[in-house]
Amino acid sequence: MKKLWIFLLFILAFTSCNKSEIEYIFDKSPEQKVGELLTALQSELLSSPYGWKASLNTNASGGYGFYMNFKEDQTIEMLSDFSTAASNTLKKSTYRVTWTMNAALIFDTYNYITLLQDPTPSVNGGSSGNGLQSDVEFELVSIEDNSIVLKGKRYSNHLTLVKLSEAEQKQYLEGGYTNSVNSVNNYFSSHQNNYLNVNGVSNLMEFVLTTTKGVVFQYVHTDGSVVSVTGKFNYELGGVNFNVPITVGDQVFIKGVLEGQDFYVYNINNEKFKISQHTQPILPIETLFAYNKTYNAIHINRVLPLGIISDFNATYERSLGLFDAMNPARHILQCYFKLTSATKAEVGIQNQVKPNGTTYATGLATYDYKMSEEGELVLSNPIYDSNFSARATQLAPIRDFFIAPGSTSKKFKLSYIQSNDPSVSNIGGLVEVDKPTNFYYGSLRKM
Amino acid sequence: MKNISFHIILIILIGLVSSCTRSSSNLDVDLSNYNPDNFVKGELDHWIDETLTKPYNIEIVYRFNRSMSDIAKNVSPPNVDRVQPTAEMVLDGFLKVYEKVAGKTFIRKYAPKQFVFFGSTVYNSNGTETLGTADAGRRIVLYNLNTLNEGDHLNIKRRLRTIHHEFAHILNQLFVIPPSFELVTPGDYTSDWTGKSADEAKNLGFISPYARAEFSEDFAETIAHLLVEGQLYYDRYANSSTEEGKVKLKRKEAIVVDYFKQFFNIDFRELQYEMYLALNKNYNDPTETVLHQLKNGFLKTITVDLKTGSHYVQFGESQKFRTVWNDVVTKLAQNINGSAGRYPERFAIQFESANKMILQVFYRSATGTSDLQGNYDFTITYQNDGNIRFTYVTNSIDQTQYNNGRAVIQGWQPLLDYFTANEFASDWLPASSGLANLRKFAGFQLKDDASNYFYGPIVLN
Repeated sequence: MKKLWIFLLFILAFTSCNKSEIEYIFDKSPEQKVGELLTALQSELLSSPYGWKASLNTNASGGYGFYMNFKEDQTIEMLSDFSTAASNTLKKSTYRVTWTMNAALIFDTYNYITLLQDPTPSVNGGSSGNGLQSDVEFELVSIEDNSIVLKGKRYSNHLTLVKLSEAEQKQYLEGGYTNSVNSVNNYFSSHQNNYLNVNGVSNLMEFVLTTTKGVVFQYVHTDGSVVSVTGKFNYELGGVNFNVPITVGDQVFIKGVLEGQDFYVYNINNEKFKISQHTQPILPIETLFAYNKTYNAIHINRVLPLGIISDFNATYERSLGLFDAMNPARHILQCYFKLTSATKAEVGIQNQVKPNGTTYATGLATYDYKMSEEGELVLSNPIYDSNFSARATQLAPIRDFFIAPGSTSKKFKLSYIQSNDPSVSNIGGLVEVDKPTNFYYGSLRKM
Repeated sequence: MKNISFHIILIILIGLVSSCTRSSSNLDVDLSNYNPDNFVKGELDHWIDETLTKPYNIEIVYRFNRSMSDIAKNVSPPNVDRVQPTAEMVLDGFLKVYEKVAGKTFIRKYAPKQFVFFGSTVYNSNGTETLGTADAGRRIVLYNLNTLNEGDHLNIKRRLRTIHHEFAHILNQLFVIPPSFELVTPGDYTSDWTGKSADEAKNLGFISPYARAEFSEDFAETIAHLLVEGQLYYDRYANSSTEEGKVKLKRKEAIVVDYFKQFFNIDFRELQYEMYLALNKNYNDPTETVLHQLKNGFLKTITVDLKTGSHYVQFGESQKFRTVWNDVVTKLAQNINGSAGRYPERFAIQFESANKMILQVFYRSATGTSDLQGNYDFTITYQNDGNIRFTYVTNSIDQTQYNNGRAVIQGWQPLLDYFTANEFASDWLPASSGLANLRKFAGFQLKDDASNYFYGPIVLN
């Protein structure tokens, strides 16, 4: 028995550690592959003689655009559309390419990329501790002929780098970026109710660039519902770029370009769609106005919006006159019509001693309402609270506009109202069905 | 049998040794290629090498490395242009201060070997922000570099407090905090320190709300405040606490001073003094100057008692001022309003506000056995260069002291003239009083003549 053990031990001793060649599953050693990937990323970053344009979306805000130029000594020069200053102040910082699970680009000192990630609210307007929810470390996703795609390690947003030409670099460095941002902004501040026509969508498709660098495409579907697709944009030379393409129906939009006096949106097949302007807001008011939709109130802040002629003007003036005749003289601080639930509406009026004195509790008139799909609104069964009743004399003109004593209900139609004053926009009204020249109006709001 | 076993084992051993020789180099991994994180050094890095790494063996990690902070939180890298001012602050406001007082060996041995810089603060779930941390006696992490302003001494001091606070923790890892410290305010430590007011902390005998977190933080906060905010701040803070709180604060101070002496043979007063010099020299911090005490109404009185003050024997006095005093002695002895033989005892300058001073003179009549007091009002004007002028303001206040003052003004005239005719520089005088008397004597010297001065013990508000 013992001999058997010794015999087995012999065999074990002479064979156990005898190794044949190792076969790599990925045909190279790990350190070789790591080295190659790092070199590939590093050399690619340095491969564009005129730098890169870059775009990055943030989780908490919109998209941001950059000009970047990587140098061999691990420094980088940058511009950004974060602010006017950032778009024409070249920021120098450092970067490095390093390995953690994958080849990664780290912006390792402060610049316009880390600005978005900064957890300090006063720096970028983000929430404290989170910033705009962006990254400073980006791992490699792919290297193409003219571009590099990286991905933020925490928030997973793509950082896309695209090579620039000599002429483009020159433009970036000579204030062209700032001009570009301004041109796009100027276009959209002077062009309201923008839309495009897209095959397969029978209604107009509204196009909005929001102040937080978001993009909205929306239209009324054939079934009457509102289709709204949102995305994010950043500025680049000559227009805007959607770092993540925006799919609306059959179309995949990738960028917007200002060409001369016109603005075009491009799809992924490089087809362009001209942006046009409508006289009225694109989406019918009844698709937006409800107790639980985009707007639920029509609000007057002290005085009626300018440039609009309605019989209601005299009504409001009468009420103001009665407040002014009080001792001490008062004015209306705010007046609103609001849908509070699926069945209840209210009119609230708050008055104040002139010019900035005691402010009184809002007087409320509550109504039952029914609204048709076409935006016809029937008010009935008014109830006035004690604050409203206490000022019944002064409020009578406005009260009677909605439902006069003696009648039980009144019919109105929701409508957009146009002002002659170009600075006044987004006005909604309640038009008396039996007398279309008489309408209550104010700013459309969500209250 | 034994022999056979031996041979068998020998053969097995040979087999084992030879079987494991490998021909392949599969496992020869060159680790320098495996996880390279190669930094290209620039001008800033060379400066850090020469200023901190070579002399103190300290590494500065300023290029972002997530694992140096809480990986679950967002924290930004520092702005490149803030790195050097921060490193200079570490050098001038921390390393050199200890080096000067405790010696090269001390600072090289105990100073944390790695400083990590981040640009933003770290936001905690309880609403607080972390300004710095110390790990394992080896690393100090400093946050919020991007708002560092070397032109603002308050900004710098807030940061240095963090560094000294963290270094205190490192010292505590070498020698534990004396048990007596924990017993000064044993019942008032609370994890909910953010929910408690600063006033409550002060009245209970804590130098800051954070000091209430636990006794080790209390110890570090006490050290940091005594060093960076200074002794005068600490005393004023203690004085504005409750009677009991004041006693506790002073007891904590005593334990800190003793801790440094006992375990590190460091004179804490010297450390405070060097700390202040560093702040004043590098960041124009005025907070411990006499002028600052005057302007902010912190200084109450300076008593000048040439007759009985033993400190004049010990630390010397100005002969030029002595002649002024002698003049008063002569003049006061002359016949004034029908009686002669008065003689001066001492005088005190009492600061009523930043701009008003009362010169209180004490004297006796020829036959008197108790002091009489006379008052003279002065306004204080500050010159642009920091010097001071006094202007005598007559009044008709009908009070014994003012009436006395008017009655014997002839005798005190030489002193009044001395005050009004000269421009003065204020200082902690005399330098010869040493660190043991730090911030205990103050006085004024003529702007252009350092040998013409007077001083006395101070009382602070």
